[in-house]
Amino acid sequence: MSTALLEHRDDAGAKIGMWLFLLTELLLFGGLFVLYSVYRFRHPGEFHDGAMELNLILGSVNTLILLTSSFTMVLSIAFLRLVKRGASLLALAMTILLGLLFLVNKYFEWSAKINHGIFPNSPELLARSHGEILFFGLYYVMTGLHGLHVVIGVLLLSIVMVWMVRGKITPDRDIFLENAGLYWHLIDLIWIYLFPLFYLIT
Amino acid sequence: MTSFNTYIIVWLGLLNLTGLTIAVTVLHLGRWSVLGAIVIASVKSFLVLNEFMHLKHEKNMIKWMFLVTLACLTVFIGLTFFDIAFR
Repeated sequence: MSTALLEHRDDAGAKIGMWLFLLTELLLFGGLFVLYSVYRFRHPGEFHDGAMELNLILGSVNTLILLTSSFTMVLSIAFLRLVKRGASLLALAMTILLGLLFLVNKYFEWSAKINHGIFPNSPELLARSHGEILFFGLYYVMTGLHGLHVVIGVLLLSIVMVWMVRGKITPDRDIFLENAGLYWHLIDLIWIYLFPLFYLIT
Repeated sequence: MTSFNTYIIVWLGLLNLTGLTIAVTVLHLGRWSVLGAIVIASVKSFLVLNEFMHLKHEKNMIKWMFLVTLACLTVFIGLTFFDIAFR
């Protein structure tokens, strides 16, 4: 009992810290969204043509995958609170799996584009108009940065899963799971805006 | 158990809104399609923030932190467009 009292722990502080970090992430992506908006405002036609070339089906499937992974993430936390550790681990494993599935789709999407000769500084792309070069540049930077966040999110959730198996995360000590969940939802939140701006605008 | 029902409803709502935003684009509503896409995305992000990230149950301090960030972004976007629209 005495060791429990000596343990230094501040769940409220941890949560505020996590939100503060997530808000800086919002500003980071916000800056890129402003960049996108300005260039789209200047080159509406070229952005339209560029968006038509993206794979709407893959983009839509990835949206459904991420939304569902957010759902399994909240389920994992809710199950842990009900002391259903097995169900919580299962929901967490599904979240990680859906994250990996998103990356697999992204891999196919990007390799299809690269095989068509469309990647930054490619001769095929440089032969196109200024607006289209900007569109595909932003497409690679923004979905790439988002994809990097998915990779980090999957790693983070995997670490959290190991901690849960080892008993470091318990129903009355779930701040690691909650904060990792917040990070995962932020990834979903950013994709909610990336999807219409790149795949749907016409 | 009510929280589970809420999560399922929010999840289904998010999936339906995704379907709606694709349908709106396919309809080719011209300049309204961009506005429609942004409005639907904002409804979806409101749901994720409030229900999945539990922002509505958080302390006022975290809510204010979020609103200040949102205000900064709005000023940033607003001033940028004032600049490029009237240059």
